Amino acid sequence: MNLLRVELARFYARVLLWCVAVGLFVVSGLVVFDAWHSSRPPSAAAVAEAQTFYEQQLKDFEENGEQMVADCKDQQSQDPDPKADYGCDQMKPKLEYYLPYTPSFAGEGVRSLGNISMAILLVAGLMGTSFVAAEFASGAISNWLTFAPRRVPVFASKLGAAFLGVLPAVILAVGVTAGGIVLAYSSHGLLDGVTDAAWAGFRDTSLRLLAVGPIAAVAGAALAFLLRHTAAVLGVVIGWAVVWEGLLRSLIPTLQPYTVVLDVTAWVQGGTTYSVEDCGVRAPDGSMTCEYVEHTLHMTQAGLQLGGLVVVLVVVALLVFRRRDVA
Amino acid sequence: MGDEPAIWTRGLRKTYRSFTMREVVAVQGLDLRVPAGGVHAFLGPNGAGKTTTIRMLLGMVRPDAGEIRLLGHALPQGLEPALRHVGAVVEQPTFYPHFSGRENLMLLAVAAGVPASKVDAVLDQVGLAGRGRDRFRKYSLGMRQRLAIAATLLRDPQLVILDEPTNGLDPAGIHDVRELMRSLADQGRTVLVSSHALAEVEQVADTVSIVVRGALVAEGRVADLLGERSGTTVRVRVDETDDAAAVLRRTGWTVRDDANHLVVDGAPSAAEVNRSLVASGIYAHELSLVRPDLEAVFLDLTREVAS
Ligand SMILES: Nc1ncnc2c1ncn2[C@@H]1O[C@H](COP(=O)(O)OP(=O)(O)OP(=O)(O)O)[C@@H](O)[C@H]1O
Ligand SMILES: [Mg+2]
Repeated sequence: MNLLRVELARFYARVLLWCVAVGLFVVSGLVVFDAWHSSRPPSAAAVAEAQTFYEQQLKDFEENGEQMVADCKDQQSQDPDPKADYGCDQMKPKLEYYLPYTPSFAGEGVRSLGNISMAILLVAGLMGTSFVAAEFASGAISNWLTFAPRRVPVFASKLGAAFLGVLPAVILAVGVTAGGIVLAYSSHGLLDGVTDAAWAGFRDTSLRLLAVGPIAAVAGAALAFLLRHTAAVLGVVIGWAVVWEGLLRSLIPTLQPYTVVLDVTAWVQGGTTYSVEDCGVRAPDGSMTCEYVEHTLHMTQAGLQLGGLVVVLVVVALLVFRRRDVA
Repeated sequence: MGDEPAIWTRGLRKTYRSFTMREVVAVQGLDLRVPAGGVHAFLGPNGAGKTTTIRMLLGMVRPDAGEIRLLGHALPQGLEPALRHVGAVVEQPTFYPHFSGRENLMLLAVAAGVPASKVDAVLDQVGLAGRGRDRFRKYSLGMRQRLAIAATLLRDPQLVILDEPTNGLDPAGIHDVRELMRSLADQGRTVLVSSHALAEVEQVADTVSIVVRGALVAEGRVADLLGERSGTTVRVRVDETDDAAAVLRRTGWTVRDDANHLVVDGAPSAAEVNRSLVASGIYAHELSLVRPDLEAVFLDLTREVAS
């Protein structure tokens, strides 16, 4: 407990960490601005333009509508699938078809909160890494170990400090982002009729987002124990991002659910989808056709995978640090 | 604790391996014995393995082979209880740069469960009381050394290990460190001080261990070791160089000419040299005892080790 207290005091004294955290607030601001910008109601000009277009289309429908609906129904009846629905009853134009799309709080609003997840991941991870790596780089760890020679408590207290240390910054960033998004939607009058379920979704997304920060900080700290230099950790992370998250993912799309980016997205958004191109001979003429098949990545699977990755990192880092020479 | 030495090692070995698989044997079969109480010098040329040995004693570096007993505790199992009574400075002391010297010690005190009042006491003891609130980053090299020494005293150690503590200190600082080592020893503690310069420690050390290339080449009391190795060498400056040389040679000593000085080997003491010169009516302008330097002793010892 004493060790944890000392480590936390140290964490909060690191000015550099707070400079990094400022970056997080900048991203928060951008996410809120984007939410505000994209939820703006259509401008008067856009409405007028849509109105004109709608009137034209309506006139056209009044003249040729009957024929168009008949054609549509005709085609539908020829479809081998008896359940096919060509939507022939909805062919009459409506004004909202032509108005610019207005996002909903339950959909885009909740999702936009997730836009800050990568920033939290990177910033919290970097804070954890730099906190631990600085001690190896300066050699202060060796002095520290003469006072606290037991490696396991030293390791645990540093990871604990990284976990708790990033919390204020992450809570603030998520709070500012969530509050900002709510304000943005409310200022555009888009909060009326938002269901309780939507609010619950918003709250759960915020909470899951909060969890990303401290876990990323722990992972960053564990990597720093392994590699001992912030630059080395950054190198490994960038290498991973390029090779695994980028290259392999595009070469072997079925690996997508095993990428950190998709897992974090699925975790924060409460599940997500990804598509895999599926090619095969389906047509009777033997020609090859390709189609994108959409798969779902469940939140639980994503969470377990991320958790597993962090546990492995922590265990390996502990085993290495327990035996390693500190010189 | 009886006769249990403060530090005892047998067959201690450490080889560093780099990524390129290059191996550096830093310590090879070191048998070290530091008696409890007094100042013990740990001497050796650069790269002899002193720091590596100290790191192994402190559990920072894992030995490849060998046994260590520290204050009666067998390592590595006994590391934690042993280190509760050890204060150590290894190489360049590093603290947390953003904190003041005092805050750094406070953090250590919290971790070690030492009352905060002790912090000001040890700062005072090393002469840093006035600068304790400055940031560590702004400390001079000598102030850093002093802070590190203060840190070693926090836990009332039975054993204080100082790795080249006078590095970067001014003459007054060197003097202070010597005094401090002496007073620690007088309080019944054991001080292990490593150095590559004999002159730095010979006035204060009671016993010495000399390591060359990772192995012990000599140990014992400082005076015995130097005496046994070199005998007395005296430098004399006289006006009548030739006459004086003849007089001294007649006594059976070897005499060498060296830039207007005579270097006399084999005399029992400087006083004897002076006596024979005066007896022949020659008066010396200058008469000095040449201290055998560690370098010579090292070379001597290394050659012995090699053969
Ligand atoms: N971390 C390390 N990795 C690889 N080799 C090392 C490491 N530390 C020391 N060595 C090597 O081990 C040998 C002994 O070094 P050590 O620092 O123990 O000597 P020393 O007696 O303390 O020297 P000095 O008087 O210069 O401080 C040297 O050859 C050194 O290059
Ligand atoms: Mg050294």
